[in-house]
Amino acid sequence: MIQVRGLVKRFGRVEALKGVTLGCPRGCVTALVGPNGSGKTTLMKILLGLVRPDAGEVRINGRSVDGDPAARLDIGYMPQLPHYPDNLSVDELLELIQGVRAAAAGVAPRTAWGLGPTQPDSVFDLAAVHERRLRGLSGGTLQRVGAELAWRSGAPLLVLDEPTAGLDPLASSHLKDRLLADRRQGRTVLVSSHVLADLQELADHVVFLLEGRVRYQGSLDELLELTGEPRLERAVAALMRRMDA
Amino acid sequence: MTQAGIILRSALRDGLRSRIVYGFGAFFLFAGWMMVRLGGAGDKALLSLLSLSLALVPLVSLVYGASYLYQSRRFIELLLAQPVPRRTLFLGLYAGLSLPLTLAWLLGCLLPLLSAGRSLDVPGLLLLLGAGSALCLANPIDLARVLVLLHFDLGAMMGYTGAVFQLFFQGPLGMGLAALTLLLWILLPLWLAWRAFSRRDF
Repeated sequence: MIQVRGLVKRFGRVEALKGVTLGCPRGCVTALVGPNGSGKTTLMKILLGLVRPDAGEVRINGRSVDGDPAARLDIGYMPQLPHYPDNLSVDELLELIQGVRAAAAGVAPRTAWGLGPTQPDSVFDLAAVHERRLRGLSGGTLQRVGAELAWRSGAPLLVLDEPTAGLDPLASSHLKDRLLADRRQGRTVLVSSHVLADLQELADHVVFLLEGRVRYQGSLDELLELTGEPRLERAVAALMRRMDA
Repeated sequence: MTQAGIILRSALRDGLRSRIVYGFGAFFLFAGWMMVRLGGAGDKALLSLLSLSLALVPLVSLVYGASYLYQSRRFIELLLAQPVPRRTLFLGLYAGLSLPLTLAWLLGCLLPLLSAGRSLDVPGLLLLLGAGSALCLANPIDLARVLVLLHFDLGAMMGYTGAVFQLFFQGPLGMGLAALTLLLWILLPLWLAWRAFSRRDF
């Protein structure tokens, strides 16, 4: 689904990615882990076309993402700590994002994309706030709006950046249930999170980045076996210790 | 609707509900009303409004635009992660930012003058409006000042230079050239910003 080959990105003197090659298998939940500054964010941004690599390429469904906006039709993106225009309502935001996606796909946009009584149900329980301005919403609600945007895209690939940050336990477990249900239906997911316990529940594939290089990629079970640790968090710590030694 | 249209509609909705835009319009409404009350709706009121616009419009546009883009950075990232070409997004945001400001300024200036029953020469008004709209987009202050002053035959306010300017700019050639330069002042920065936006890393 995602193929990354020889990705290099420099910001001035800092080399954020030093030749990253990896793949995310179709229908798998891939966890992107690594300490701060390891290049996770840069990698995700290149995937989304926000940052242009100095070398290498990213292909999604065989299509290069650099300079081809249409490749992003296949991606539903949930941003970390989102910020939305203060004066728009939840419905108007959904209308904007789904409208531009429909226009890109050449599908005639529906007259209304919102969450009114005649509209499809909200995936993340936003029916009560659908007419509210985004300015007045709590952090957790904004996070659910971000999730709603990603899921409603209907894209075969979901890219989630710290999806559970700021969510209350109920919303967080709802999101995980959705992810697991989507995985069963063959959706591909790339998720980065600092909460490794969350990832252990969800992921079947792990990519570990350290200082701009891929230090491990493979199945979660193999990683646990390799390090002899029962938990992902411990396994990653063991990997980091091994790198230091 | 095209992608640019959808983005523009959304940016307009956001901008037309912004308190800053309303405050901006209200300020000109108040200033215009004061000038009309104090000196009638003559050329003087128009020129005073011009001076005020020349000082304030570029400043407010710059601060409003910069703070909007700074605050919206994460939102722009979200939009860029959608299947939208960068150039389309840029033009939609640009128009969505500048149109509400221009509209607020236009109404703020026009309403007091019209309500005072100003028997305005239409070209003069259009010139003031044109200069103001250009100011909302870029910052060609002196050219706009020269154009408007000359139109009202007030070249003497600029001394000898004014006399020379008057000779040159009052002909159709001079006026045309000045108008063209104003247009360039809008288009050149727009093009540079457009290029930078489509190349940079977010």
